[in-house]
Amino acid sequence: MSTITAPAPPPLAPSPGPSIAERAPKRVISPERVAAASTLLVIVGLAVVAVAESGISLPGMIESWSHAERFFARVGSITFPEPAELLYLTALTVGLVLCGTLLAAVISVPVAYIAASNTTPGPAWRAAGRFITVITRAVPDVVLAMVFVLMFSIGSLPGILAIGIHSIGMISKLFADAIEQIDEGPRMAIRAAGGSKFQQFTSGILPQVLPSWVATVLHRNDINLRGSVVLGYVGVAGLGLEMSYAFKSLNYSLGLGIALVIFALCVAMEIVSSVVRRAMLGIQPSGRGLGDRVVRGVTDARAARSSRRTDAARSGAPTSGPGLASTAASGDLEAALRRPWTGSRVRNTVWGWTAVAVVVGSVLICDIHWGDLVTFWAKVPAIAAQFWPPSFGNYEASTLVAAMGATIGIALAATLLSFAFSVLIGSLAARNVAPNGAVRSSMRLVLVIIRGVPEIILAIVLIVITGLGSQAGTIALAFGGIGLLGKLIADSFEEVASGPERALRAAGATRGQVYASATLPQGRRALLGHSFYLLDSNIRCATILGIVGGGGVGYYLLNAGQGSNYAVVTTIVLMILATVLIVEGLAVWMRRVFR
Amino acid sequence: MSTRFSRSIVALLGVGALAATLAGCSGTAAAGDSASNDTADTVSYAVDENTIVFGVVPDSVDTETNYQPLMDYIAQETGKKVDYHESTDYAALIEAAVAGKIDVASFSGFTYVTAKNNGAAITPISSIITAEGQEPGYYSQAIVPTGSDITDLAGFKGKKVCFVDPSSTSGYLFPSYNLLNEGIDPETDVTPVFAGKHDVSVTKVGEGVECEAGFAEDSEVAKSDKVTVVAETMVPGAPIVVSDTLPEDLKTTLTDVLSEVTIDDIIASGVKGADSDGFRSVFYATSPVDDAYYDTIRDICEKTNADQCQG
Repeated sequence: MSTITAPAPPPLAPSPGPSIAERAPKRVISPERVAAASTLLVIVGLAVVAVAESGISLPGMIESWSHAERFFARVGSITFPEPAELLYLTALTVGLVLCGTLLAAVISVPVAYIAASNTTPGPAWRAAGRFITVITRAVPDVVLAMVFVLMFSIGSLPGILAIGIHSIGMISKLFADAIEQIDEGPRMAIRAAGGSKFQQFTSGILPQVLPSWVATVLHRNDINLRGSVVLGYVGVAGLGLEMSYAFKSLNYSLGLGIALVIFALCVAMEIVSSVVRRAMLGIQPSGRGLGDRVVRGVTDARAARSSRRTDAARSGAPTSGPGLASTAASGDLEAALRRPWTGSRVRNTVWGWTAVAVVVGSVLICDIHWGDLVTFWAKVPAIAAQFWPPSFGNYEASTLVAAMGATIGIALAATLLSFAFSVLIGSLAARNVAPNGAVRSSMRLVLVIIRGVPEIILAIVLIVITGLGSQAGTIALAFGGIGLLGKLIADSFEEVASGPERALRAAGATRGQVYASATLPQGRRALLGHSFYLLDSNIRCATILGIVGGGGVGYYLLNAGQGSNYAVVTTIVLMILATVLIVEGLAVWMRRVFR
Repeated sequence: MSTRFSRSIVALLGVGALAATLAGCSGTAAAGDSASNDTADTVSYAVDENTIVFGVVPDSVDTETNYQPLMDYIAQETGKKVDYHESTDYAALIEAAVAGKIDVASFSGFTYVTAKNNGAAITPISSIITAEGQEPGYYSQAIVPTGSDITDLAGFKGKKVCFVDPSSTSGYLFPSYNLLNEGIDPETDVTPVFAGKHDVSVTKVGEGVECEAGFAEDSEVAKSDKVTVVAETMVPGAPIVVSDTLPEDLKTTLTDVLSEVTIDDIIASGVKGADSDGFRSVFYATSPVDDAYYDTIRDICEKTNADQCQG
C-alpha cells in the first residue's frame, strides 16, 4: 500500500505557488459547525443577559443582611421533632424513596430492552421506548403526585408512584445505553446454541450490564431522596411534608431542624451508595461512574466502560484464581462441581440479603394500600377529563408564556453561574489537576456537601431573607448546580488521556500550562455535554422553585393545581415538555457537531 | 473558547468570590447600624421612591391572580413603576412584609394577622370582591358524603375527618375553631386526615372511604355533587395592605386609588387589558376594610393556639 501512495508526484515546473501557510492542511469548516457555534454563542449571550436581569446584586444582598440577622434571631435555636416521630419520618422517607426508585428500575428493564438498538424487536418499538423515556423525564414529579393523590389513597402510594414514574426516564435511558454497549459475543453464543430470547437476555446481557445498572439505580436513589423534599410541598408524606408544614406555619426552628436532618440523610445516603457500589461492583470509590454516568451515558461511554470492565476483571481475578488452584490440587470432582464459598461470594450473599431486607422493610413502612392498584382504574376517565383539553384558564396566553420565559431565564442564569464556579472547584477536585491530595479531597468534600443541600430548602431560606423574586431561585439553583456540575467536571477531567499531560510535563510545562493545553482541551466536549445536562435539569428545577415563590411558571403550576384547574396544569406541563425537548434536541445536535 | 481566556475567567471568578466574601463581612456592620436607626417614623421604600413593590399570595384556592390591569392602574395613578411578585408561600410574603420589602400586598386575612403579630408595619385598606353586591371573603364549609347520617358538626366526633393542611385557613384553622366550639378536639376527638388540597378533601369525602366528613372551601365544594354541606363559616376576605413606612402623601394616594375602585373605573381610565374576561373573573371592585375586621381571626388564634399566630 505504501509503495503506491508514498512517492510524491515529482515537482513539476515550480510556479510561484501559494505560501506554506496557505498550503498547510486546514480544518474544514462545515456550515453546520458554524451554525452550532453561533447557536451556542447566542445561548451563552442569553445566559449573560439572564444573569444581569435576575436582580442578583451584591449591594442589595449586603443591604438585606439585617433581614438575615433578624430572621435568624427569630428562628432562635433549631429544634427537631420528637425522636420517635423523627425516626418514623426518616424511615418513611427513605422507604418511600427506595420503593419509588425500585419501581422505576423494574419498569425500566422492559423499556430499556425495547429502546436499545441491539435488542429492540423493531423500529416502532424502539421509538415507543424512547418516547416513554423522554416523556416520563419531562413531566414534573410534582404534577404526577398531584394526579396520583386524586386516584389513590392519601399516604405513600401517590409519592412512590410519582417518584417511580418520573425516574423511569433517566433510569431506562441509561439502562438502554448500557445494553447498547455490551460485548455481543456471549449473547450470540447463546443464540447459536439455541437459547431463547429470554435466555439470551438473562445470561448474555444481564451479567454484563448489571454493574452499570446498579450504579444507575443508586445514583437515581440519591436524586430522589433530595427530590422528596419537593414532593412534601405538594403533600407527599415524609420529612418533606413535615418541613413544609413547619415553614408554612412560620415554625422556622423546626423547619430548619428537619432541613438539617434531610441534609444529613442525603449525605449519609451518598456515602452508603458509594460503599454499596464498592462492595457489590468492585468499583473504586473515586466517584467514577456515579454522576458522570448520567451524561457520559448520553455522550461517549465506551472508554469509561472498558476501563471499568478491566477494573472489574482485575478485582474478579484473585477470587477465581485460588478457586481453580485448590480444585486442581485436590482433584475432588464433588468440590469442583460446587461453587466455593469464597470471601467475595459470602460478602455478595450478605449484601444481597441485606438489600432484600431493606426493600422489604421499605415496603412495610410505607403501608401501601394494595387494593388501590385494582380500584383506581375506575377513576381514571373522570380524572383524565379534568386534564384534557388544555386551556389557559383565566390567564392570558402571554402571561403564561412570559412566566415560562422567566423560568428559562432563571435556568440559564443559574447554569452560567454554576458553570463558572464548577470549572474552578471541579478542576481542583480532579486528581490530575489538584496540586495535592488535600486540596482534591477537600474540594470533593465541598461538592458532596453542596449536593447534600436540597435546592428547595436553600430557596426557601433565601426567599425569607431576600424577599420574593427570581434572585433567590437563581442563587439556589446555581448553588445546587455547582455540586452536580463540579463533580461531573472533576470526573471527566480525571478520565482524559494522560499522554498529552505527561508530554507537556516532560517538556517542562508548569501545572497551569498542562491544565490549559492538555486537560481542558480534552475535557471540552464533556464540559459542553455536562452543561447542557445541567441546563435541562435546571429548567425542570426552576419550575419547582417557582412553587415556593422563586419566580417563573412554577407559581402558576401550583396555583392551578391548588385550585384544581387541571386544564391549566396540562397547558403548563406541555410548555415545560416543549422546552425540555428543544433543549434536548439542541444538546444532541451540538454533541454530534462538535464530535 | 481560547484556553487563555478561560483561564483568566477562572482567575477573575476566584477574585470575585473572594471580594464577595469580604464585602459580605464588611457589609454586616454597616447594615446592622442602619437597622438600628430604622424606626417607624422614618420614611422608607421597599426598593426606591420610584417603585412600588406589590406582593401577592392567592387567598382562596379559587384565586387566579392575574391582577396585571390593577397593577397598570396603580402605576398610572401614582406615576410610579410597579414591581409585581406572586407566590404561593405565605411565609415568604410575611417575611418580606416584616422586613419592609413590600410597599403594597394582597394576602389572606390570616397572613395579615400573622404578619402584624410578627412586627410588620402595614395597614389594610380594602378587600377585592369579584361580583357586584358581594361581601369580601369566602366560606369554609363542613361537608359529608351525600346521604350520610351526619347532619351537623357535633356528628363529626370520632369520625375520620379530612382537613386540607395544618396551615390552611379555611381548611384547618376555621374548622378547628368550629369543632372546638362544639367541644370536639380536632386532634384527638376525630381522626384527622390531611388531604393537602381543597379539591382532594372534597373528593375523598365524596368517596366516603378515607374520610367520613371533612372541610373545604366553598368554590371547590360547589364543583362536586357527591357531598352535602352541613355547616359553613365566613372567612374574612383578603386585605390589600399598604406599608406604614411610605410617605404620607403616597399612602393617601394609594388609599384613594385602592379603597373603592371598580372594574369600570379601571376600564374608563384606559388601562390596557382591563376589559377582558380574564380580569373580570378575578376582580369586580374593592371594598374598604379595617384592622377590626380581622378580629375573628385573632379570636381563632387565641382559641386554637395555632402555630402561625405566634408572634
